[in-house]
Amino acid sequence: MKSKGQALSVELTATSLIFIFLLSAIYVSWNNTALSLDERYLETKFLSISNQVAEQLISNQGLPTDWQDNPENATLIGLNKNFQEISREKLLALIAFANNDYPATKELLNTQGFDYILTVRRQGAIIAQAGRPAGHDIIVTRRTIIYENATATLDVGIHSS
Amino acid sequence: MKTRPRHSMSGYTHRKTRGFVLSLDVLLAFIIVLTILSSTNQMMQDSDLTKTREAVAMSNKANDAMSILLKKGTLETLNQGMLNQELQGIMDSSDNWRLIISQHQPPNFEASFRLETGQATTPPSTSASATRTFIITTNTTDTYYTAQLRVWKTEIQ
Repeated sequence: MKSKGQALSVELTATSLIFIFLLSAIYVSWNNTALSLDERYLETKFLSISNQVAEQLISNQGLPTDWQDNPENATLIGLNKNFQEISREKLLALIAFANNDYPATKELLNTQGFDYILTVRRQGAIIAQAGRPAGHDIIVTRRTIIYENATATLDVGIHSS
Repeated sequence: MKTRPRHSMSGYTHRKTRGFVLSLDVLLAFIIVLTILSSTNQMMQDSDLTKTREAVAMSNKANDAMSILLKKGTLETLNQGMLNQELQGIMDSSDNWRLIISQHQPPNFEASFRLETGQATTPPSTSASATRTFIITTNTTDTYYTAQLRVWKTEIQ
């Protein structure tokens, strides 16, 4: 009688352990899946925003078109000078504006509340930068432009700091 | 008097243990299959996202390059050396590209001239392409051209 009771309690303990293990495995797996889905959603969102911001900067002159003279009154920021060419004056104005009032530039670039960093490179060397550097998880859209009569690249990085 | 059938204690434990071990095996196999399926699915989704990002980057590059060639007037020169030089300045070392310019003469606009430059290999179906049309006017004649640039990354095996 005593042995039967012992066997039952061993089974009960083992079953409980398996149940706890299974429950933990399901919990960890669920958490990982949810985290991975969140990351993927955020990456896709960042990719879409960085593309939109890059297109806005390259294709638009901004509103008003001479917004660089008075950035505080700008309703849209654009860097376009000519077909596929960006304006040096507008880029410098954006850098200064971002240094003075970064949240306002985020709003005008329509980054949906996320942080951004813009980098202009020529032959790999950084020649201008605006915005906030990323801590981790950054999605970058690279566009090829003409800047000061030479081919350069504009990187638009979107991140959550 | 009705007597209950007697079972030896060892027999009872043996049968139970066997069933118990079997159910443990099934449980373990179930967890392993689930884990494999879950990680395969995750890897496939990661790969899809990477492919999407690459496709967007290639499409941007092809369109920007064509816009720059048009803006600088390089396309209109129809000069293979100049086109190669300009495109090499735009592309990264890991980019493959192929540019085809066709001439379309009125009135039937059939392609009568072809300039091909870049990679000699046929671009894969995953390559991004950008097409622009431009006109070269000489005296009173308008000649129409179509330029198509295809850009792709070398697939890592």
